[in-house]
Amino acid sequence: MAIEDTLGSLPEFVDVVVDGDGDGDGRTLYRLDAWAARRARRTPTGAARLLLRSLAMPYELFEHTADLGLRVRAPSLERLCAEGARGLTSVLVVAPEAVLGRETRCLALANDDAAELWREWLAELAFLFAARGFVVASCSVAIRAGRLDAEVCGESFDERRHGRAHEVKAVTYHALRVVEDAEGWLGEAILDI
Amino acid sequence: MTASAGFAGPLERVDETLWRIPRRYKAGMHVDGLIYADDALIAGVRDDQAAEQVANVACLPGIQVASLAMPDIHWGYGFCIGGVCATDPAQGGVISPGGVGYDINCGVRLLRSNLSWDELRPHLPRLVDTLFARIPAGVGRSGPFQFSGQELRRLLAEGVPFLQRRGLATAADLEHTEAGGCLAGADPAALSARALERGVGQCGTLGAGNHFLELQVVDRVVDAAAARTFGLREGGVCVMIHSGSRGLGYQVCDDALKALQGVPAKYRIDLPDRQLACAPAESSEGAHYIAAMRAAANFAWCNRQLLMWQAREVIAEVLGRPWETLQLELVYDVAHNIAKLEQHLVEGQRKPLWVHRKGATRAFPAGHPELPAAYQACGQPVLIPGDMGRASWVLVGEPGAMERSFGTTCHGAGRTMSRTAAVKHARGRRIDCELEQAGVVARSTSARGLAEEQPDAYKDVDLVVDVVERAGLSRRVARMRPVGVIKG
Repeated sequence: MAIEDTLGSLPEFVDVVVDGDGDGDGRTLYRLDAWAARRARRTPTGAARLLLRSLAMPYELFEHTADLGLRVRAPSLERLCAEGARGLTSVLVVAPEAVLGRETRCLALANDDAAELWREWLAELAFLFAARGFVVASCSVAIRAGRLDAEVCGESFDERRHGRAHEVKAVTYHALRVVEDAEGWLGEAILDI
Repeated sequence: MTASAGFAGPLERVDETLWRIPRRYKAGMHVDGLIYADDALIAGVRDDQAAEQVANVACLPGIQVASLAMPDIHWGYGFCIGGVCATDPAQGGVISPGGVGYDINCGVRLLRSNLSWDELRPHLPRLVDTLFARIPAGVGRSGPFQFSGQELRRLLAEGVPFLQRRGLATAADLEHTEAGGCLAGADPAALSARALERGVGQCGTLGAGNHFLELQVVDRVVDAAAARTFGLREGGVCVMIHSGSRGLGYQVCDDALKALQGVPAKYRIDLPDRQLACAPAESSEGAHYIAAMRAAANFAWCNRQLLMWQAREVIAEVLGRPWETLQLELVYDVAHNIAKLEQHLVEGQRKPLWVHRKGATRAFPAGHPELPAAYQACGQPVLIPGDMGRASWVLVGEPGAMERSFGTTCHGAGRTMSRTAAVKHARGRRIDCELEQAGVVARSTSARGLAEEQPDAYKDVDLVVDVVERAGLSRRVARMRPVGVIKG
């Protein structure tokens, strides 16, 4: 498959169909936004399927001896935090897709260091879950001059619908990383389980 | 530093169970690094950055003798897991939250009983199911013991004696708990509102991750005299509980790491890794963390006490006899994530040191003044949880621990597999069914949690225990076989 052929214009979202991904029906649909599509266009054809999969899910969990690492790629620091929230929810509950945005909460944090701000943001959401049983479905984030303002949509944890997954003791400083490169922003954090 | 990077620095063999990272390895090291391991375990030590962390800890101001690591060493945050570090406050010695860990006073307690395995066996499935139904386990669960804000503050300041006054602990329970279940100098006012909020409702809950409550059978007695002293006999039924200070302790550590960020620079402490955040133990910042850490430690002892209390009630109910008749007595409760001011002998001089044990267990020998009367002639029981399929161990402290490791030994098996790798390894399998076939009834709030904690994910604890015995830090008393497990 040639990605260049598939991705023509760059509307807000692009649906890409890839054959031969081994899922039985021979077809997988990936929905990419404009930023993800731009990244995909620069990618050699051979790596297309794996790349598309990772782009369709901007966060991933990686291994750490006794704990879990959360890695997010996004076009902006704001999106990085928003996708990080989704990633964290996927660590906390078994069925993150079942979490509904029934309730909105406003959060504000400040830190001039992007990595510290990223850690504090995730720690804030982990606290909301641990102490107040609030689980996040989605959020919109604005960051200006080291100040983060967010509207967080979610609901009270429901064991039957959401399922318990991990207890996140803390978002650690270990291997904490936020970098901006040609492809956007990368954020990593190790979660103490 | 990535998880895949191994340690390429020097590891010099000192003897058959001890390896040295010499002080010359890294600028700023005040002492050598010393790692207890045999040939098989040291190979694993080279796989990650835990040994580098041992070298980094050797750079902390006031560190005494050596930066130590036990054979269950693995990569942690700042300090490695299995790390031991003693600092002298009179020499500007520091206190470091990273040397204690997030789960302050995570630890283990063991109850014995007069039940034999044959007597328990017919009741086992119902007993495990009832324990699982009644004892809160898993993410964020709250327990049946609700304390008001004022009561919680008293619990934090007074520890297990507070519970004794409410009829939830006996004098014997206190006697057989490290420090009597209370560290003096705990200050609830040093805790943030968030820490208190996370703690309310969680005292008496097991939590998730590697925490557990196990019904165990004494599988093999190695030291008959010590086993007799601890009330353990082959085929006897015991209960082992592994838990800590829950969300309250995690928040205390998180708050401290944040608060101490600028402090090393203030005191001109040059750190090779910012996760070693610390403060001179006698500074105002150090004193604040110590007061909060002690309160969290008291909370953890109360947590394990209330878990034990619930277990006693459930066992009594299922067996139809009072727990006193079943002689469900506490053998011991010991912390493995803590920092304590203790007296130790350094170059012929006895002095108070801040001993940090992070994934390392106190192992005082016979005659130590901090031991209860019943164990004065024998030494302190050391409780080493293994994995839920193979075994755990009861050891006893040896004089070598005082001479070589500030009265410390190992704390567990240590993981060999990451959580994600363990889940992949369990794909297509039912861990609970496999355990049941192996004679272990296991109940967990999460199938994924059970997969992550499967026996294959851990080193064989027998190998770890063998090293600390050969090193003279503690000796084997009894091997414990799990028969029932509840987990979060």
